[in-house]
Amino acid sequence: MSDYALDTIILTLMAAAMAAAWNLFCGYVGQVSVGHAAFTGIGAYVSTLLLLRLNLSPWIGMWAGAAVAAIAALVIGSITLRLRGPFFTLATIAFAEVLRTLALGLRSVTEGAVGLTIHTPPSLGLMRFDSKLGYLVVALGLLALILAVTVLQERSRFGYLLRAMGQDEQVAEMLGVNTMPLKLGSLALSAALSGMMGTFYAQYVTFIDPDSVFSISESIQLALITIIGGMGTPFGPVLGSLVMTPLSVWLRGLLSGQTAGLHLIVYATVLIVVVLFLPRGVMGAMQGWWQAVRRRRGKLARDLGAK
Amino acid sequence: MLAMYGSFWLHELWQIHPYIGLIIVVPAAFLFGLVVYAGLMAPATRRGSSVQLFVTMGLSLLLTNVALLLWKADFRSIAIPLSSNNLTLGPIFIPLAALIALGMAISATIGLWAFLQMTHIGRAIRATAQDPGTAELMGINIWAVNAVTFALGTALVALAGPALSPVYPVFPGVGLQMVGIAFVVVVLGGLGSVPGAWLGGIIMGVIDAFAGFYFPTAFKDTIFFVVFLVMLVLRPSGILGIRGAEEVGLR
Repeated sequence: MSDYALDTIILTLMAAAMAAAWNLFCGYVGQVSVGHAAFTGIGAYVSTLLLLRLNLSPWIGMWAGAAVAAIAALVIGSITLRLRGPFFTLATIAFAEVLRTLALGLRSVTEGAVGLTIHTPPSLGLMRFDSKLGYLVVALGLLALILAVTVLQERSRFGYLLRAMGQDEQVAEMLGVNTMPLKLGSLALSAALSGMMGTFYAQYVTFIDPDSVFSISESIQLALITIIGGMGTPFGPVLGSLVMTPLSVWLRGLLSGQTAGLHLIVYATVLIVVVLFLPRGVMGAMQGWWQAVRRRRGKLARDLGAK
Repeated sequence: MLAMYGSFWLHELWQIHPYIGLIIVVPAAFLFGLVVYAGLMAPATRRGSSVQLFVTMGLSLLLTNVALLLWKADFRSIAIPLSSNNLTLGPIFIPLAALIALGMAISATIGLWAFLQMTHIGRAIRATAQDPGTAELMGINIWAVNAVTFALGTALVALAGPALSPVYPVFPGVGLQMVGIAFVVVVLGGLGSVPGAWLGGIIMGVIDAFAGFYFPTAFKDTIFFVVFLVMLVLRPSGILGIRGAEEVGLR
């Protein structure tokens, strides 16, 4: 299998995993964060700095990044989670931008706009692989992890309460649901997993800089993939990524950079169309279609049985 | 962004001075706003606030990248004599174009405020904002009011294009850059308040100037967003805004 094909698969898995982490919070609690790149960025920078400065293996750095991201989530969440709708979204944008400008400015720590490059030789212990297959396995593993967490969350009482809050927060509160701690917990979980994906990103791409990991554009693409696939379902992000990532890789390769923004134009158009016509994403549309089919079959069976 | 490009191209291709080009750009923006409202915003509004968010995000992404595709990422500027004309008041240098832009902003703000307070349509807009259901019962055409409000907003934003084009370069991302600041200004001043927006703008401008002086330039942008977050914590409805709007949404 060609390197190009492997690369596309890895990118698809990575995007799906990041989107799934986003979905854990935004899909179930229903508040839209357009600043999740902050958490993946934190993960990427923490693990990479630990690797470059202290020779700490990214396998450990990954967890450190996740922890820092979770703490950041708790901090920012306690400030912003009582805001509704667009205000919360704006706050997440602001948060990501603060981190981006800080990363740019604190040159002594992060090398600013120059970014950090990883050139450790390939070794399992340092999460660097000779062939892309190694990365593929790790990406698959991380995606499986996040999906497992999502499914567990869906079936747990925690998830049940989150969905109640997502549907109508005030009613949930009236019924005695303790919304703030639940929301904070969910955001922290989502942030931690996003941070882990940030570490993987850094290890795969081997170069990070504030404008690529903390950018709003990254956050938007995460959100886009999940929305297109279907928010609030475990496999929505996967479906969304399967559709959008190979498309965007193909578009970016087309005409070698002449059509600089083309893939984003397609993303944006698909987003607008899906949001207006398929509000529950492709996943939701498929579920709706399947239910319609079953209803028709049921009717047929009843008609036959009534004879 | 589109308005600035419009202004740029009008000058580049037909030597139309930006302040005159204004007469073309602003009404064009109004019409564009009506089309966008009819095609995208009306269905989006019916489906709820997160749909609106994504539709506008998508539109912004779409327009920015179409501009990128058509006109590339280069910075374009209009160089007219006005661009380098400075007013000297003692030890202070003020670019004349900036002063004129300020004048335009002041007139536009006063004009908007007067429009909302004193005209029939203005009152209809305010009524619809307060209580769409009752407004409709009173005979106001909600759809038309919403369309006009949106288009008006588009036109006002477009005013900034020609006003700034003598001194500010245009590139595809310029709109996103300004929108970020605009959000902060509106939250600062308070949603739903025109004097609030004005106040927010002044405050942000002053903060920008002082931050640039006291802080290393790398952190200048951080200041904006920190101010924003602080505002959200302390007084989310803004200085002159409607209290509680931040928790129950804008309705």
